[in-house]
Amino acid sequence: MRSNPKLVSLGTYLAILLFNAYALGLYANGQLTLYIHPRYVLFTAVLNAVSLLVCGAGFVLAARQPNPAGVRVSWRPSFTLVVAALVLVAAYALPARTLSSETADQRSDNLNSSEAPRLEGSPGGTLALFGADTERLTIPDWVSALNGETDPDFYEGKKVDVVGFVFHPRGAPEDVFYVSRFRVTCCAVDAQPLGIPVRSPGWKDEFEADDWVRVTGGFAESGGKVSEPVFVDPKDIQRVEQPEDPYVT
Amino acid sequence: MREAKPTKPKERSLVRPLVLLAVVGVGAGILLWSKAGDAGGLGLSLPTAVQDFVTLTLSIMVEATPFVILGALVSAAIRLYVPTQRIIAFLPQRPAFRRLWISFLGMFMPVCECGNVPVARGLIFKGLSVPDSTTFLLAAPIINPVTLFATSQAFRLDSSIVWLRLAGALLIANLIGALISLHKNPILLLGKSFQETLQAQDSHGEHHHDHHHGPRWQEGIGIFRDEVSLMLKVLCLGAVIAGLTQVFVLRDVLTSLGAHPVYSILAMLALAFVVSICSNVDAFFALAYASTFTTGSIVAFLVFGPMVDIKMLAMMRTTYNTQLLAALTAIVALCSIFIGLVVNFAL
Repeated sequence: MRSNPKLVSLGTYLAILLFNAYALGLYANGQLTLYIHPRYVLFTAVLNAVSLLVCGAGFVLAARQPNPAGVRVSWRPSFTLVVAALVLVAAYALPARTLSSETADQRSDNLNSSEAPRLEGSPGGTLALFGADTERLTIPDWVSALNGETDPDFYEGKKVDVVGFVFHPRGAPEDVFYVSRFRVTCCAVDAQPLGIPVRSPGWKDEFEADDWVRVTGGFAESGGKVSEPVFVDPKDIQRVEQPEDPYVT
Repeated sequence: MREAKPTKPKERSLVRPLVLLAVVGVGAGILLWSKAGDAGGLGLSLPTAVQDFVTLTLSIMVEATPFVILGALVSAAIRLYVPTQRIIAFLPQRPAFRRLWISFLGMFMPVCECGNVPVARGLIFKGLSVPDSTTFLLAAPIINPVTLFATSQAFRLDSSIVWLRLAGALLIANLIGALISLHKNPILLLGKSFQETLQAQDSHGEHHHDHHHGPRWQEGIGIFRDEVSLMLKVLCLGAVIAGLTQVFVLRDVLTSLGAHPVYSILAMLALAFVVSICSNVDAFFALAYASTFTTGSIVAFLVFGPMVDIKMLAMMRTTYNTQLLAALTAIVALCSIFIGLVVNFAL
């Protein structure tokens, strides 16, 4: 399969332009946060725009020259270029998705790991909020509380109202699922599953793993059935749309 | 540089269709994507494991690309606009001392490891020796303000980790530089295609931008475009392999070893190799393991990860030959294990 080296390098440049356009498309649709932490969104958009402009000019320059400058090109489409093309096809053809509970399970050793960073406020700070409206607390807040305060009495009468996806870790009791979120510190690669146990016999008849739900209710002592001191005794579990920012930070 | 040959009229006829192709391709891409965003994709649905693999691969790509672009911008600047040779001449003459200085160049350039590959290539182009540039490449991702700040933020309770990380990076980067300098002709340790590109530059001589080459801005665009496309292409390969291993290698196999003083270090090195996470934020990632893993293994992770991982090896392959990379991986791994053991047993 002999091919023109110039066409190979032009193909590579075109792939870069398409990737830049893909990243900018994600930005335009507010979907970059499905892949990276919000703090990188603007940085990513700006540099991809720069690359799109400069590499676009570079593409035109290369097209006008008989022999492309710079890196030597092989005489046939290299293996890496084929891989890059496949990645591009996947990027464009598949819907942007969050990670699933399957990956959460794969990382379940890391579920609710106690030293996970809380940049804004320590566990103690979260607990201090408890005097106020506990229904405003999010899943990371509750996880941080559950890690810090193991006395079940502490949770008596407290109300919970959170949105997350349904996750059933290996080894968890059949009547318990975790209402979960992934926490992202850099990109989806480092996503760490966080979740609060919910005891709801028969949840499997109504929900599947990865369904997004809103759980409201109070707490009940877990009696050692799960590693957390309490689980949510739900008043109501409603199916909801996936939130715009599915990951927490 | 290498575009010295006059443009043939026959080739010119290619210009318009290709430009058209680019415009159509990019336009179609944007349209397709904005449509896909609203309608939830093209309706294709894959098994969740495969979908997660795609998400992880794209996540590495989207995360690393801006750093590569930034690195390529710096690389083009180093090769064309910055008086790099004068800066190199300003460095100390004694090799060991010079490499120690070079280890700290990252303080002025807070790019993570993938951005540093094009920068190191730019430095080699401008005459920095192979041992020196390798020291830079290994040290800069760790010894830079962003990484050190992030590490100190993540490990607020244990500030010694920052210092151990810095010391470990200094030690390994300088050791590798010294070992490479023992080679009779370190240029031979570079990859074939990079060697050829360097020779092509040398044969054109120093004053290449004065005449018979396009204007400087065109040359800059060319360098930027070539660095970005080379790096992103191999980054894709690295991201695919890293994504595959993330989905299909169970993490609890690794993390069940967390408390053992020796196995925990090996497990964290394997984890660093597999996740290929960016050095600017890997401290936060490591923190999640700090409760179950020995301190030595955390330090080993923080030292090893920015120097060697799947993604970095793919990218370094553009510049170095396989033998050097194999030796480098082995030495960095052994040193990281050694540092981890010292922390676990002696501190």
